[in-house]
Amino acid sequence: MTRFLSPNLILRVLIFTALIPMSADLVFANSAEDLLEASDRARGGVATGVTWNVRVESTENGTKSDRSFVIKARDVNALAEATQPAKFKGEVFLFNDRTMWFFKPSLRRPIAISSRQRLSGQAANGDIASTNYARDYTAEIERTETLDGQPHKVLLLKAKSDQVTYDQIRYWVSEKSKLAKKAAFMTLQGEVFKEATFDYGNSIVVQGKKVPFISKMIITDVKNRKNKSTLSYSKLKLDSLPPAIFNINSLSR
Amino acid sequence: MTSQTLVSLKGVEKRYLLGEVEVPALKSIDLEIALGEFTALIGVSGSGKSTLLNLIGSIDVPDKGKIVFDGQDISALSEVELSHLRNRKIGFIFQSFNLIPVLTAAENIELPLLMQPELSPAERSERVQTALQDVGILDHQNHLPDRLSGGQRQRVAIARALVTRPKLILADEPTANLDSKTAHKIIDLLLDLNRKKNVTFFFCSHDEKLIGRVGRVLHISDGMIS
Amino acid sequence: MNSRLDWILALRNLKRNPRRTISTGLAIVIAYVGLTLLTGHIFNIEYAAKIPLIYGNGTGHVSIYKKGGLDNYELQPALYHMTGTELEAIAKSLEPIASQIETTGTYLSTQALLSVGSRSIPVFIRGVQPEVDDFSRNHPRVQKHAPEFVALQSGQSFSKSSKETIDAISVSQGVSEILGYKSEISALAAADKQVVLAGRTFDGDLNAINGTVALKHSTGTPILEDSSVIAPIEIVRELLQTQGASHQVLFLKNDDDIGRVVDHMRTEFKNRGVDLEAYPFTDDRIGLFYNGTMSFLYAMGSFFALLIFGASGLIIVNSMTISILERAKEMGTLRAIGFPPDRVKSLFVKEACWLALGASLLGLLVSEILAVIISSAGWTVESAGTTYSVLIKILTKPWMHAGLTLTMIVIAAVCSGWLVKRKVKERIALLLLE
Repeated sequence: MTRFLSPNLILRVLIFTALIPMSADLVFANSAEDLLEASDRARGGVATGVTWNVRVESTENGTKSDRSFVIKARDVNALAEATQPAKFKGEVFLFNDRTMWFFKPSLRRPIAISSRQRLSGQAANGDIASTNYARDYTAEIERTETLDGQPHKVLLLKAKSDQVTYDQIRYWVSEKSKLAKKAAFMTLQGEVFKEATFDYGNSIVVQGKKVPFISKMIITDVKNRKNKSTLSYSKLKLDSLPPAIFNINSLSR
Repeated sequence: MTSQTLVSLKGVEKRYLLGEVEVPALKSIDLEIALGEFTALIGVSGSGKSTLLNLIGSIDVPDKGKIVFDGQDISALSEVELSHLRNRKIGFIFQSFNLIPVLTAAENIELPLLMQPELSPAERSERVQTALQDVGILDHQNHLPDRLSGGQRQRVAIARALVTRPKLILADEPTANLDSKTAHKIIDLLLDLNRKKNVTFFFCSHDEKLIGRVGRVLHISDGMIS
Repeated sequence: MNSRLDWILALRNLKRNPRRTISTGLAIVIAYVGLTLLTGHIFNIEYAAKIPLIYGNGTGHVSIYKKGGLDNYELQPALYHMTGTELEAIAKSLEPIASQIETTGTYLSTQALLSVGSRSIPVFIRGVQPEVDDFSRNHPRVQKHAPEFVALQSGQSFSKSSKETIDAISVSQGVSEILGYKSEISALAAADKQVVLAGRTFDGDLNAINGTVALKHSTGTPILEDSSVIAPIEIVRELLQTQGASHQVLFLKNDDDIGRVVDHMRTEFKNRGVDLEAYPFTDDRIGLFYNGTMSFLYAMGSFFALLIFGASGLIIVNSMTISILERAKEMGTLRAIGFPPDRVKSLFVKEACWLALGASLLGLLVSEILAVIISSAGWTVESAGTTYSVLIKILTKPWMHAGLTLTMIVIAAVCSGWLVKRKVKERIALLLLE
């Protein structure tokens, strides 16, 4: 009995318990970036190369539109090729790190565009490719909120440069799955103008592990909730994509 | 009263304001002028003779009394009617001739005829030539007044008064600005015209020397006729 | 009633006091010359402002938009552009007034991005028919009234360039500077001239087309100079994925027909039940600078004209007052020999009229000589709404001189008549005494 409560043991317990708050802080301080990185992976930020199809169905002031693209993403680069409707065939959006280009075969050279510009409906150019929020935004944990019975960390993301798609994002990331469930896109003044929800019905195998991947993103105009775009992700597969395809010069002949 | 009465004045009075004082120029004048008469009104300066002449000629208005000219009470006439009267029935001759300096003798004489639109330019021209001839200055018809002597200018004035064939010619001291030789010539002319054309003459003067030559002489002093 | 002698007498009376006549006359001459130069200058500025607007910038005399299009086309082009059917309705509406129309132009305008290399600049593209662009920018009236504007243009034919290069575009001086062009377009390397134009189709989708910079032009206006691009309408139609037009423009043979043509088109549109509207170039949304400049000039000009006419009237009154005082006796004499007051008055009025006429004619001569001298001097004036200095010229017109002369005569007649009126009615006896 006295062995149990030896001074040594008591001291160790005391030290250990004293250390708990510190290590807890250390654990929490990392987790904002950690959460972002993890959530990015589920939204396309895969280092080796992945291909998927995305279909953008939008309702805008009563008018419907339907566009499809094949996305090839690797690391920080992505290439989106328009496939449907036929009139857009051959159009290509290239994402090189933070610059974006638009090209179609009739053009002599590509044209620089902005990720903020509207692509179709509520989807901006920057929305259809992979996300790199960890790289593009500074993150801060605002609070914890329960969504669908699960605790989520609410992150406040602030853009690191003005070339990224949004100035500020409020991002709900699940503590457990580290997947982003909801986003509120804001102006520099903090006014919410768009909202998005995410579903992760897809999965890919990364380094032997099965990882969830985005299957649906619904973006809604906050001022007029009838205006929304649904991005559906399918035909997901890992692909070894040569870096050359992401080279701007390979676009124009 | 064998001839017709042309002008009749009854109880005519005229006052003038000299500063703040009222001065009577004519005091209750009764007068008749018959057709064809040649009357001289003699009086000193300030006696009222010019005033009386002006009233007869309708170029001034009496304060009291009645003036009847050729059967018309002239106080009842409008300004346009009076102008018409002066143009057609009265002729004026002024002491200082009163010619328009920029018009020739002939043009001065033609002036009153401009108010008679029934005359054609040819008729006007004929009357002017006749008038020039009557006063004897046909040779000077194209001269401006500053090229004429005093006597010649007065002749032009007389011709101007004559050209409208008036019933009465009023002359206010017509010889005052002329030398005595010329003055007599002018009086001769007037008498001659009176005889030949039967024009009634009423002229005023302060020159007593002319009395002897004239048919009827009236004296005026202090606004009254004696 | 009034005879020749009246007029002769009136004329000769002017010689009675030559000094007074000459000084009064000179004053009227100066007033006349001042007014002619002022009016002539305003006319010149009017042309200098409207000719580059109508022809130089292809605005035309009359613009036709879809109803609400003038305000809303740029924000909602899909809703406010004109379709082929509407363009046909316009053509049919023009048939009855074809004799008043010099030519028409169909335009398709849009905001766009012009991209060279990795640089993109926002531009405003005016899609035109190249022959219409040539017609308007090389119009003889532009050569005549805005040589300074002409001097800024490159002088080449857009339709010729367009035939040689299907995607030939013209950029404004400002755009060419932003793009860093250091020499004439023709001397540039091919790679520097090849650009991409990006815009949104009427459905809101991003689209882009090739363009080859072949010409330079100048809008002559500071606010437009940094962003103007002129392109053949067909390539803009490809960019916007439409066969429509943003507006139609009418060039008239006569500036004075604008009101009539606008009314005619509005009636036709109503009768045909088409949702179109016609606007003159003087609408504030089209010719704001022109309106602003001209209303200021007209206001200022009217003010000065009033002052000058007023002064002339006073000069005549001054001169005639002395005349009347001097000739009271003469007035009395004329009254005594039977001239009614109005006739005597009319003599003085005729005299004033002769003076005004004579002085005006002299003024006409002097002002025409001065107009030629000033117009050839090559002086310029800075203008807020143009990128160039406007040449100072005096533009005179016969009706201007007729009007001025008549006004001077009327002022002389009225002033002298008013002045003499009372005097001639005074008692004759008193007049004769003066």
